[in-house]
Amino acid sequence: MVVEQDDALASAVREEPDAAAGSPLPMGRTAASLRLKTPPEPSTPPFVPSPIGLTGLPDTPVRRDGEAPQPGMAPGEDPAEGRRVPGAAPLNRWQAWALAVAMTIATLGLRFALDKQLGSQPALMIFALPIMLSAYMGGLSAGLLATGLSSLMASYFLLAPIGSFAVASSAECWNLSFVALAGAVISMLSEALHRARGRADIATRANRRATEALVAASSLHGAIVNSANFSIIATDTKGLIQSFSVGAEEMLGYRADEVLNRMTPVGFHDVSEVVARTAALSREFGAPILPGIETLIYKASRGIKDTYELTKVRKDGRRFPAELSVAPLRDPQDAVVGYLLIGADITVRKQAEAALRKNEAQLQTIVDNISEAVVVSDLDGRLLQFNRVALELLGYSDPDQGRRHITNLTDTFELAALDGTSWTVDQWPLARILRGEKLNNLECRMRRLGADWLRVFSFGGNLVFDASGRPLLAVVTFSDITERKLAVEVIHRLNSDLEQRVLDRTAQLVIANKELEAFSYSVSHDLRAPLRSLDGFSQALMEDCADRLGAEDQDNLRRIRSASQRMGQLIDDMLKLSHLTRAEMDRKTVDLSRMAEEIAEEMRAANPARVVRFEISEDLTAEADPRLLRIALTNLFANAWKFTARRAEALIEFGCCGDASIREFFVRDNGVGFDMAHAGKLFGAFQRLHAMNDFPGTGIGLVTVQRIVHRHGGLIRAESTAGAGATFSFTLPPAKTQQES
Amino acid sequence: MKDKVILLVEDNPDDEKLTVRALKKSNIANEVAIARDGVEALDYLFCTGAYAGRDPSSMPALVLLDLKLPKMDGLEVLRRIRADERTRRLSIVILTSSREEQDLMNGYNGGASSYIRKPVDFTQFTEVVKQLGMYWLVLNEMPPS
Repeated sequence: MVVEQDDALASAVREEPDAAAGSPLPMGRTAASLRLKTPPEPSTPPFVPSPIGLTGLPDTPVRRDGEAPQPGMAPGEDPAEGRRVPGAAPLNRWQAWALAVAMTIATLGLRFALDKQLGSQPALMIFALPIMLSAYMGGLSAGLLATGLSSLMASYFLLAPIGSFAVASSAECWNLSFVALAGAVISMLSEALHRARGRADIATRANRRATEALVAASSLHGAIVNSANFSIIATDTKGLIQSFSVGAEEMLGYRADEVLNRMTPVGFHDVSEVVARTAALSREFGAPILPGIETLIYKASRGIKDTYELTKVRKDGRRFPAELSVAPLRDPQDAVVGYLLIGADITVRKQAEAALRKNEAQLQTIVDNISEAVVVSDLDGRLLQFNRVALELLGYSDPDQGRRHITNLTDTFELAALDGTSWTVDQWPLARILRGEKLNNLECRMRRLGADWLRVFSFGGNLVFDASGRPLLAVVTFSDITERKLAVEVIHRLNSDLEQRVLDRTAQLVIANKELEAFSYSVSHDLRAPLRSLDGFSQALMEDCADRLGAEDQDNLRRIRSASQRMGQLIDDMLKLSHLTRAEMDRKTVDLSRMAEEIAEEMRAANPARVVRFEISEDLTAEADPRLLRIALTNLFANAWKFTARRAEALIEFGCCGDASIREFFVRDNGVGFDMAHAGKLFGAFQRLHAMNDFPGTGIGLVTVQRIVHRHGGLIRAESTAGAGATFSFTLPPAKTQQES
Repeated sequence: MKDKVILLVEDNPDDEKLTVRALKKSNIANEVAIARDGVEALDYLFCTGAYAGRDPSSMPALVLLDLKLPKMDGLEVLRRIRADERTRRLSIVILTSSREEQDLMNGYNGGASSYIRKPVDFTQFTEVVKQLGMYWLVLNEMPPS
């Protein structure tokens, strides 16, 4: 029975292609269904429409005639037919046998009831009734049981001698034999009838199920084939398009009727790419291949699964990247009857890939251009990635050289603290980072074993965590700070040298100052004493011996006195100058205009004979030491006073020009002036540009002024045209924040 | 006052002679005692050493004190004079070549009555000495002895 069921199923499957051919789909778009056979189990899993599923669709395994049934289903266990075994009689075995026995006994009863009408006639034909009924209802076994029982009952109850199974007459014996034989034949015929009917039932049911499955499969195929996301094109063996899906129409811009039986899919591709792929295939297979449809189907035609990317060209000329899967189409006899080309537009994917590549390239460029070395390690301590600087610093020409476990690096590098204490690998920066430490500017000495290479590195780094807080990687950054360290060392050394030098120099200065003070004191005391003697005794001589000295003698004595006094003046001026250099500065806001007025008044009072006009600008102020500034101004005014001595209308001006940030004060006169060629000598000590007889002086005044201006952080300059007056200009810092230099 | 002595403490003989000459020129007739170093000056004032026989009740009307002196400098002499009850009220004029601020300050802090710088010009010097005599010997009222 089980074998019969399988046969029935197999025959149903064999009928399927014809059934599919008669599906409601338009013929032009169902070529795929030649290959897309749905397995016949009622439990067919629902189809999941995904790109991967679709490209794999042509390869869906198909059960062919004579193949084993689906695995996982034991023979005879038809889930839908479990209780009603097809091919059997309507009754089960025991019911049939009971029926056979009952009907035979009933027939025997009927024979006894008809005893009066039939007399001694055995009328064995009456037993044909239970035999046929039993065979019809219960099949072969029931028929044979009824036949046997009828024969026994007839010989025992009806045939003489009655009450014995023996049969007396040979005619009766033959009669009984014919009944038994006829019964057996009837039983067998009936059985054959039963079987034929059961087979017909199975065939009908299987047919119905197959039809249902085909309808389902066809609608799925239709949905797939007409999906707009894929171009599904079927060709004949020559490549001529036989089927053109809705998706193909949308993707390529052609209508099905423009291409069916008119074009090959080659027309949808970039010519140069087709040529290039042809060349590549020719090389791969060592056979000359002509560019054309062969290019597209060459592999598929040899049973090689073929999926590749190329550029498709639409009817309107627009181009886009596509992925093409090619598979052969086979008829039921497994002969290739054409090809199925499924294309997907991968523009978005390509763009995403390009963006990703660009991103990665940018990231790599950024990482490579970081001035610090960056090394990425996995959580076990295996180095994975290096940026350019890292490779340079570690001396690797290739990242693969460095892709080692940290413990394997001890044969290459030795790390030590700055004081030279060697570190075990557990103390290495990466090991510490892997233990969860965050490193920042961990300085250490790094030595390459077996090479004359010792550098100072600054390490940093930390673990990198994913969004859920699990550690992913360790990142180590480091930079070579050897030069910096050396520079710092040099700076330290220079600094301490400098400090020592400053100390030495200061000590020398203190000594020099002391010496200078002693010298000044000595000059002040001892140099002047002899001058007093010269002057005093010359005077005494003139007074005491006036009557004995001639005019020339007296003149000589006067010259001695004059020279002594001038030297005294020189000494005094020198001492003043040295005072200016040493005196403490006491800056405050000075009213220069008022100070100038006061000086002018003093000078007029001291020399009432002179007529000098002063023009002094108002409201001139500066941050300065008033005592020093008075000395400077007095010197400048005295200078102007002196050199305007021969002017009938002497004029001395004091004013200011320039803005608030750099103000330049000036003292201008209309005196004799000086030759600018000698201007350089003006501010040198004891330098004089005029003959002593013309304009007496020690040559110390302008040096004094310059020194005072310099001590205030200002500058002084002189301008003149010989005979047309001179201008002395000086700057003074306006702000209180200016420090004495 | 004319009988009172002027004590000139001066180590330079030229300056000594010029000072004496200037005093004479200025018609100051007081006797001038000379001490040529600081120790001698103190010996004179306290009647010790070479001056042990001097009458201690006779103190000079004016002491002209140079600062730069052998053995003991003028400032020390000044300090000793001011420290002693017998001499603390003496008129002491520092007469020196120095115009160092430090000397001026030390002089006045030490109790100098006046500080005069000797000019190189003898005419001026004579004038200074004349005014000194006029002021300290004539105009100035001495404390009662």
